[in-house]
Amino acid sequence: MKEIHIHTLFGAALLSGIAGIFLIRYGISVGIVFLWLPFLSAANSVRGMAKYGLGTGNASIGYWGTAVGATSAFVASLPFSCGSTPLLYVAAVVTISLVIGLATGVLADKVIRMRIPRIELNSAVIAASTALITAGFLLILGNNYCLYPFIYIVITLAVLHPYNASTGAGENQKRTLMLALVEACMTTLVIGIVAMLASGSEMPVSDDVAIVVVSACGLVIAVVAWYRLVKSDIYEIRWTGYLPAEH
Amino acid sequence: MVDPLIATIMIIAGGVLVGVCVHFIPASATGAMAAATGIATGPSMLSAGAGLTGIYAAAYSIDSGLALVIVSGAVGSALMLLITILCGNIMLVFGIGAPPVSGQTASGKSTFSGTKDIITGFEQEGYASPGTDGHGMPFQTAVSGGFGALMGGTGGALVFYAVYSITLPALSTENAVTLAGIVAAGVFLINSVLPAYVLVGKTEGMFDMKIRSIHRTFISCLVSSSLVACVIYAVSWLAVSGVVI
Repeated sequence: MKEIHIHTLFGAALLSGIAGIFLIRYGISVGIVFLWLPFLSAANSVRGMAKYGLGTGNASIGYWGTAVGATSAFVASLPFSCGSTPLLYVAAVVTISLVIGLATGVLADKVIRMRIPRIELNSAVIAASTALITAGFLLILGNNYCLYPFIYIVITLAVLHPYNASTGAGENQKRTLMLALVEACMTTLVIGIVAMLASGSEMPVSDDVAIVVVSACGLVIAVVAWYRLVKSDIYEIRWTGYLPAEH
Repeated sequence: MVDPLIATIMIIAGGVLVGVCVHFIPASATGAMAAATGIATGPSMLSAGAGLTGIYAAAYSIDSGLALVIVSGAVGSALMLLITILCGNIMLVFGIGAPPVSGQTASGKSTFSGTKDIITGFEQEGYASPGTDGHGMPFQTAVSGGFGALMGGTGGALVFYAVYSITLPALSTENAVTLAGIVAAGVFLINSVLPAYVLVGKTEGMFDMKIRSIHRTFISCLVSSSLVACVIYAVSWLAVSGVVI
């Protein structure tokens, strides 16, 4: 099965993420759907790094990459305001996360000498993708500092879990990325609900309701598609009772 | 409060301490099956857990000055780790019936050679079950873990206080504490995962031969922390100077 190349996926995620942030900035909250692609890109890079059997688990890679991305977005929100100059803010977030992600990847490769192919590229991609997601979520939830740890953890889980859950014999990129889409929808759904609760108004704000509705629809479609993939991938078990073949 | 430049140096020092501390904390994924010495989880996640506890402990004494913040962070972190070691040993001894023993020492491959616990003098050879690399946390391993957690907690507290000092002029106290906490956690996670590549999922602390590759961790954490510290310094300077774009 032909796999989607990391550059293609990251390029698409970058454009999609920036488009999502701009749409949210200009009041179109359903633009959050454009943040799903960065989730896929980050999960794909966790897969790219973790499948070589490194000295640490998928969880560590997810926490590490998201720590770089989320910290970049949090710190960049101090001097740069997305409200007045969104382009400058997004440029700052992407640049900071890419530089720190790339540097840590190069250090892991050259100094620590962990010979994982394209480790620096993968770590930079996780950092930049999660930074874009964090920036988008910050726009929706406002600069509510109490929610920073929540934003960080909710993104981390959605990024590290798809490969962790799919790993093993018969794992393939298509199914892992589909699970990443399921978790991306789930995450934006939770963000929509939290935005409703955090708004403080008696009636839910229509923008937040739109996020919840769109995310719920996406979640249903993604779960159905993912479950079909699971069923087709395990047909050996379903029909013969044998263990799945090594692919 | 400390000068922004000193705070930047504190972030670098804290980051390096956090990275180096991972080498001292005994952890092993196969410890879950009592097949290796160390707490039953990956070294990075355990160190990150200890560090986060340290940051929480440090946050409670944020108004009491740098010295107390550091002590609070270090003690909080060490307490968390030593309680984990104690509970792990209780479960291992009374649940599985295996004595805490250092696998590296039992096979004569520890840093200080010999087959005895370097502190208590207890013989380790013969107590490790066949086919395993030790189990549980004997005294020397627990001491190494406590020492590592003190270092990690100190590092976390240093980063926490430094970021708090830098950002306070631009934010309210509550917001500065929250931002400092999450940034310190971020620095902790970045630096604690890097040594995982050296340790390859398992270490017995300072009595493991892997401690000899600590220089690689030191260099990589120094460079990555310097980069993060420079970014934090630059953006905080912009924010404090009122250059909100």
